[in-house]
Amino acid sequence: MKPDQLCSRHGDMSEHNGVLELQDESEEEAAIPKDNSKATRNFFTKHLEHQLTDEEASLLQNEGLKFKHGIRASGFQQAMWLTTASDFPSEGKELSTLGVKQRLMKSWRACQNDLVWGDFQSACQCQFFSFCTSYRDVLFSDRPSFFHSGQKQDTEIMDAYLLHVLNHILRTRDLVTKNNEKRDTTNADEAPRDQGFTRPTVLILLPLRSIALRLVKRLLDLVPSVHKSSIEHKARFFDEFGAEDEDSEEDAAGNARSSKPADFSALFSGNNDDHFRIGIKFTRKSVKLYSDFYSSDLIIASPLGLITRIGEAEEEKEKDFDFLSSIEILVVDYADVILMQNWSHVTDIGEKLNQIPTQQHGTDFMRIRELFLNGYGRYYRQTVILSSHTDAGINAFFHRSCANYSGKIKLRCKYPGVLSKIVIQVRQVYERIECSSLTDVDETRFKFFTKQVFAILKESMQGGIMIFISSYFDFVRLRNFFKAENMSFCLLGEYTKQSDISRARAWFFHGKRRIMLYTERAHFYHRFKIRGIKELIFYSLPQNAQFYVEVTNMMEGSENHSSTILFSHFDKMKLERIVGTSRAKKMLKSQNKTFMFC
Amino acid sequence: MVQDDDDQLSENIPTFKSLGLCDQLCEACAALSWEKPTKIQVETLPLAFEGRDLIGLAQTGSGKTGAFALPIIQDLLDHPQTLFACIISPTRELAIQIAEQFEALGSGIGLKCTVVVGGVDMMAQAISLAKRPHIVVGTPGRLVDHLTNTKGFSLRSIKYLVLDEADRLLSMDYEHEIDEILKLVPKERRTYLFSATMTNKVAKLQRACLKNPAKIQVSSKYTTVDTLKQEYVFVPVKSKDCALVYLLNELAGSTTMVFTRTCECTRKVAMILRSLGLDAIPINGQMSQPKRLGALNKFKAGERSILICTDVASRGLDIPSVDVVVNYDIPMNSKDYIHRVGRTARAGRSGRAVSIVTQYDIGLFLRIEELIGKKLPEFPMDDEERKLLEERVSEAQRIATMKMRERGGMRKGKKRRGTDGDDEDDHIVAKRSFGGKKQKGFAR
Repeated sequence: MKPDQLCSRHGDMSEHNGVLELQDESEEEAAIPKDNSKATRNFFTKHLEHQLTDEEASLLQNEGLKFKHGIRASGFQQAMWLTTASDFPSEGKELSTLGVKQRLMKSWRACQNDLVWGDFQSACQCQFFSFCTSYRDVLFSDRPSFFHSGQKQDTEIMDAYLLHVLNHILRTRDLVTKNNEKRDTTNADEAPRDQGFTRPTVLILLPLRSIALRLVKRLLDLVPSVHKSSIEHKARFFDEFGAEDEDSEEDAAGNARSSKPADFSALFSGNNDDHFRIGIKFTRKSVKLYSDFYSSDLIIASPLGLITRIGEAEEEKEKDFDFLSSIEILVVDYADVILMQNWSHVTDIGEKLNQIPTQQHGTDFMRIRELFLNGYGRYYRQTVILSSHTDAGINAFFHRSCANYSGKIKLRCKYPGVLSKIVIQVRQVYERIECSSLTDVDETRFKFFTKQVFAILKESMQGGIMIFISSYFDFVRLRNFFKAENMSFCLLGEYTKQSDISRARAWFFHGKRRIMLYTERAHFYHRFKIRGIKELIFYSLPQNAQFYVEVTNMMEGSENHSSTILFSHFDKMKLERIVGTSRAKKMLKSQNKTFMFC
Repeated sequence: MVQDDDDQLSENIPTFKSLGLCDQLCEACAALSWEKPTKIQVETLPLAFEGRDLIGLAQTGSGKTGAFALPIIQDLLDHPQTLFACIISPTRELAIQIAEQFEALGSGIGLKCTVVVGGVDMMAQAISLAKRPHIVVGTPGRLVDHLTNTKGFSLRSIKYLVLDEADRLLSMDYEHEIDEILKLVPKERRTYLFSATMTNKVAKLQRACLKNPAKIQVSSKYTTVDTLKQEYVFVPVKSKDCALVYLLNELAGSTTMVFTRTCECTRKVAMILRSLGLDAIPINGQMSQPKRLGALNKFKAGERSILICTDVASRGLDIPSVDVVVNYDIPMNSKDYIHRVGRTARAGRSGRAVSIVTQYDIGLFLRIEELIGKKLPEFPMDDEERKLLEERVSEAQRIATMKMRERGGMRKGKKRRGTDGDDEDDHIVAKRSFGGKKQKGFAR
């Protein structure tokens, strides 16, 4: 008996579809020479019409990842792009070879100022776009951000993924509307499979309203002019996402006076609300902001904004979060800022993506792509994470929760370290904690601290000791420990009230309290300039290497500076950003456990 | 599937091959160890291959499913198409069973089959339908639900419509749904209608949806198989439970189905038996679908040896290992008796059926005897031994009644029929009290 005889016709169908698609392309993009259009044939179709077998899918679930191949990353001093796939997507300088819609190409060229690298501003942009458009997962862990590297470089990267996102949305819409027309005119028996359970295909997670504003502005610039003859609710959007006027003036004035670092004012100058979500719908002639999620193509939200919506759905029966069922592209930008907010929201959202919905939401079921019906949505979802530095949480999310069949690409950088930026003479003593398992590392670190570091502190009567802690859990642990030990100390954590902060800082400065506990988040959100530090202890290393420099430089003014830094094998990523990649390697491998920099 | 023994006598036994079945399907039949076609299959297959509409009047367990599945699959092989046939069955269990047969026959050719029944998540079914199966098997209520609510799903392309157990479909008030479905299927189609009896309603349905049908009647008379040993015990109403326990004790070690009239009764009997240490499990129309399937599977797998059920289970379910059928309540409808005892002595095996007759059931019982055309012998019961059981049984009864009362409070608000309305117990109960009084004076 011939196996799967009945399926043969089905195979014919999809081939048939493929042929149609090809014709559409050549019709629409008639301007392009024929040989070109064939070679590029549309990553969109290729990605979504790939047939994934059950075995392949189960492999994706369990497969240990191996990043086998690497190429030099353009635009970086010392960095490599690594991939799990067998090759890298070809980098075309021309948009036409990358399967970008004709209309979109026009608007791209119109709103990019200096295209020096083919259709791109730089080799870096070109390379990044080619990764996006190949529908692989991308972890861009050294993203130039506007608050560190300036607007131009930042926007380059944002434009690249926006172009990809827009291209994806417009292709999806065009395919659906074309098929709608076809079905209206001819009475075909078989419905074409061209959509998901619900309409939204792209989700972009951003940390702050001000950033969402920037992104939407850029997005509207890139939208082809035919599609934006009207933009609905534009005024409301600018009103709600723009800076509240009075505050911003005050802020600006305050910023001028205060000596906060430039990146801080750049990041927090606008509307820094972290609770928002907005749906955007694209039609033939208009772009509609604030559309209902179920009729949107694109959802832009903060992790907190989306997680509260999911929470509502879990509590109330009438609500649901089925709009996340058919997300084909997830972009997480400024992950380093989200990390300071709450990364676990992102992983929670990741789990809710591409689930089988609970309701039908009026979708024509015969037109749902088979990949969604089989529950394989997550194997087709592309995840693009951009962050100015990476961390274990981001890596875990990228490696474990993203199971794109077409592979992953990540950046491996070599860091020069930031030690040279320390302006004062400080004796920095690095102590390595030996620990072999990740589950015990917190415990070992705490024991090491209490036995080796605290024992000395307790005996000496010296004041002005600041202990910097990266995680809130360690902060609480040390606080309880100090309480039990009846030490003289004060707290500066992310949840400390403003009045308590001022008092703590004063006490610490005047020596009424010997020890201060300071968390990375408190520093991220306030950038206090703490005075009166005589000795510095990094209980754990900061995520942001910049903070290491800033905190160390706070010791300015006292004599005999010294700092103690605890690290373990599991801090490799943080460590290499601070001391530099090559030194970090030595420090982790060496027989010595103590290292000193002056 | 069941092979009727009667055929063995005739010399030129038709084979599947000689009936015109293609090689692939002959192999599939052989793989299921269907060696030769059953009577109804012999009759239907050639007519079906001619492309005629069919009416089949056949008793349960006669191989009906094969009679319509084989021609449909054969045609599907010649004209591959998704959403090729739709089969409507009165109960969820039967629908699942039909789908299983289709899948078994079509496993080698990639046949996809979707079951659309109530009590199960709509979404999962919608997804399954969206995968475009070749065959849809369903109960009328849920099928109409999908046709109206699942966007994109339609039966416009089907080539075959099968109405299985049509008499039952109609007696369960599915007329409206069936009308609805008939409106939504194309006029150009083949229709097979199967029914155990030809009632007026079925005749009407036949006129409405069949074109020049060929009528096949396998056995017009209601008969029970000869390998079935049928008996009765006569006890007063109050010692019914005791008699049941006595019977189960006597027949210990066999797989038994006990039929009762009401859902409530299945629960109570199961409780009594369980507190006496017998592994009984109830199944009835008030249970949710997963629970019903769970109970059935436990019974099929041999984890439980006694299944207490209402008439939900009296038709179509193929549980080959049943040895004994006990009628705890005598069925109101004499034909149901045939269906009930048809659960045992299937496929040429032997079986035993015992009916518990009380003073109120005598009229009913006589009618049954009339229908099957024989007088039944009495089951030899040792009254002494039965009386020994009485004390323990009445204790168990007391406990069961107490438990039922405790639960009763919770149940009341929930008394809601499944959309499929799988059981007709309510009106039977009403009739019973009415009929019971009339027959009081009878003595045997």
